[in-house]
Amino acid sequence: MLWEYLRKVCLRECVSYSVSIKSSSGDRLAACIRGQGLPSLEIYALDNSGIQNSSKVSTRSSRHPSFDSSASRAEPRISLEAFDTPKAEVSSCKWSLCGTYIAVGRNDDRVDLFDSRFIKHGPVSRMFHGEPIKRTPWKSLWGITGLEWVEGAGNAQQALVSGGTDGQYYELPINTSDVRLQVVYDYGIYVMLTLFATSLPKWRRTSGVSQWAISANDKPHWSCE
Amino acid sequence: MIHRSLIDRDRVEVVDPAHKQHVSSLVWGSGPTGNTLFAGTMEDQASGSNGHIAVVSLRTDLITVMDRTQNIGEVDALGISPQGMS
Repeated sequence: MLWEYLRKVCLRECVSYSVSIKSSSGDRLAACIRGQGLPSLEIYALDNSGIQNSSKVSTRSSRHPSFDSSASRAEPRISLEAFDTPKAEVSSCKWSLCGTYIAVGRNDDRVDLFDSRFIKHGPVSRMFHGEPIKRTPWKSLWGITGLEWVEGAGNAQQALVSGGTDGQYYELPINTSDVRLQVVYDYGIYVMLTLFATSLPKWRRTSGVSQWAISANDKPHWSCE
Repeated sequence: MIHRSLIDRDRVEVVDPAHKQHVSSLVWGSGPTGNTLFAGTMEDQASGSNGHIAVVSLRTDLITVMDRTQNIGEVDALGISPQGMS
């Protein structure tokens, strides 16, 4: 039954992923940075017109995307939660298909989901890999090995799928047409957080996936034990 | 170092060769102006060089580093937004 479900997801993803590749050229770049202090998630605005905003372009005026370096740092910028160990790092950073959410996977088993419109409010959802079975007990860090957004997962318009070296994958279905989700943003932060929590979908865990990847020809490949 | 192919002339340095920085993350962008590759680098503690993000433009006749950020720290991961979202 699991395999049948995964096969259906893969078939849908074959179509959706080719679409996402075609449109994967947006105007913003998310970067996960480690430096002195806490790690951070930074959003850079990319200037596709170049000439109109040439005063903000750090190097030559060009018709190519350039960093808006009018400020030395990107805006907005948010500090991520500190890693538990020095060797930890962010392993994956993926925008949702709708361009609203940013998923950050870390090799300390954590996935944080940010809303790009309210990124300074912190993650809107968080989950951990690693329970209950350690598939790789010799590793102190299991880690998130990959994040992918898929379209049309069940009743949701899109879902975030995270794979980890604990041999499991989780999915977070998100329905961006949820009226409550859209309306609450128009009201204050406190109202938004309360209502948002009630409308957030729950992570679902499925065992048995040992590895997964997107192949070079854009066709997702799942490997099940 | 970004290679477009195995031909030696089709390459560009995204880091200062004097610094032992490694490219830690890559992400593609494709807009109306052509293919663009964003490369994030690690820091080199020995030389005191922080990481940065380089914008590499790939055209049929030329590969160039069009832009790069200032030293920002070690770049773990990059993600490009879908087109038209802001």
